[in-house]
Parts: sequence; structure tokens; C-alpha cells
Amino acid sequence: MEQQNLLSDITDMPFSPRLKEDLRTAAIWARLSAIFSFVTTAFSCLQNIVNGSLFSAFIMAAVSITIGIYLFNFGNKTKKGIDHIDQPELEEGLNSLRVYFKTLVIIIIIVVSLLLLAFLFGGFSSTINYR
Amino acid sequence: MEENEQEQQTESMFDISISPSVIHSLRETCRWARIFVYISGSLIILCVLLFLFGWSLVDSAFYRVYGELESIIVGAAVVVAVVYIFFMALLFNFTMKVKKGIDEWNIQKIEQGISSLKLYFLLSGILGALYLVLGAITILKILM
Repeated sequence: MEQQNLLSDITDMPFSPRLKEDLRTAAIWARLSAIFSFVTTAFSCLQNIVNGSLFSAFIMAAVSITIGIYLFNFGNKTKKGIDHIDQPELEEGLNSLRVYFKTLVIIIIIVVSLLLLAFLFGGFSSTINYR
Repeated sequence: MEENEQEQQTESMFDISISPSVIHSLRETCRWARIFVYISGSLIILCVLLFLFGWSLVDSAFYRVYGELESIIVGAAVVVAVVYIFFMALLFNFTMKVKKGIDEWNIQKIEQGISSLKLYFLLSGILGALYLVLGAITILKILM
């Protein structure tokens, strides 16, 4: 019994064919989404630069490219890992997915905090002006 | 029979597997994705509530900005909100199923979770493509 437990501890669960196929499709579409987001960001940045708002163009490009790179890495490495039966590549790909969601959360928290601050200071300054 | 089993075992030894590193990445992905769903869900609910309770203010402001197009803009906003909620539901399903699957060591649950993730990325890819095509058409119209 103990030996069996030890065996199940050291033997990893294999990927089922369905799991492999679904993860592969997810990776392909994630990579496409990342490419689309790069192109969209490039167009938006161009538009912002033409309008003269360089700072917002820079911020938008930095955020979108950072997120896009992690998504692209997830798609690329996971697909490669599954196709070439390469465990370290697959692990790196899944780690990129983790970092992608982590970055999304951090960015959304920063944006919400800035909006809240703007809302609070806006309300505060309008109250002072009213008095 | 025994030889067949041995062959299968040897094959699985050289195949990719759900290793401790994969489990760690999936667990952490689920954790961050769930936080993302909670924050974005709260924001969407807040927007819907603001929209519902401040409708008289929103209505006049929208009419001033968009005029006759107001109803189309409101309709588009509702569609976007519904699509966004659907996306968040898919992501939430992914996090719950994969977490349960890892905790219970149940491959079927992990499969269901990854299937939701697949649908999430598939739909976001299709929407991204549509957005790009619409953007290209708009630019072409402006240039012509």
C-alpha cells in the first residue's frame, strides 16, 4: 500500500488525448489573439501619435505589448511543447499563461485605483470650488 | 496483455504529463484568473447599476452626444456587456473546474476546465479578427 502511494506520488498523470487537443487549440487561438492585439495596438498608437498624444500612445503600447508577449509565449510554447512532446517547453508555456493573468490583474488594479483617485479628487475639488 | 500494458507505460513515460510544475502553474493561473473575474465582474455590475439608476442623466447626456443614434449605441453597449459576462463565465468555469480537477486528481474535470479556456481564447480570437476587419474597412472608407 505504501509502495503504491509512493508510486502515485512520483508518477505524473499523463495528458489525455482530449486534454492535449483542447490545450493545443487554446494555444493556437491565444497566439492569434496576441497577434491581433499587436496589430490593433499599432493602429491605435499611430492614431494617437497623429492626434499628438504621445504619452498615452506610449503607455498604451507598453501595456498592450507586455500583455501580448505573455499571451503569445503561452500560445507558442504550449503548442510547441505538445507537438514536439517537450515537457519543459509546455511548462514554460503554462507559466506564461500564469504571468499573463497576473499582469492583467495588476494592470486592472492600477487602472481602477487611478480611476478611484481621479473620482475622489474630482469630487473633492468640485466641493471646494462650490464653497 | 501484460506486454500491451508495458508498451502503454513506456509510451506514457515519453509523453508529456501533468507534472508538479504544470500543477503549480495551473493552480496559480486559476487563482489569478479568478481574481481577474471577480474584479471585472464587479466593475461590470457597477456599470450596469450606474446605467440603471442614473438612466435619466445618462439618457440626456447620450442624446446630446449621439442624437438619433442613441438607441443604437445603447443596444451596442448592452451586447458588449452580455458578451463580456459570457467571457467571464467561461473563465470562471475554467478556474473552478481545473482547481477541482487538480484537488481531486480528476482528469475529466481538468479536461472540462481546459475546454472552457479553449472556448474563451477561440471567441476572443474571432472577436479580435472581427475588430481588425471592421477597423480596416473604416480606414479604407476614410482613405477613399
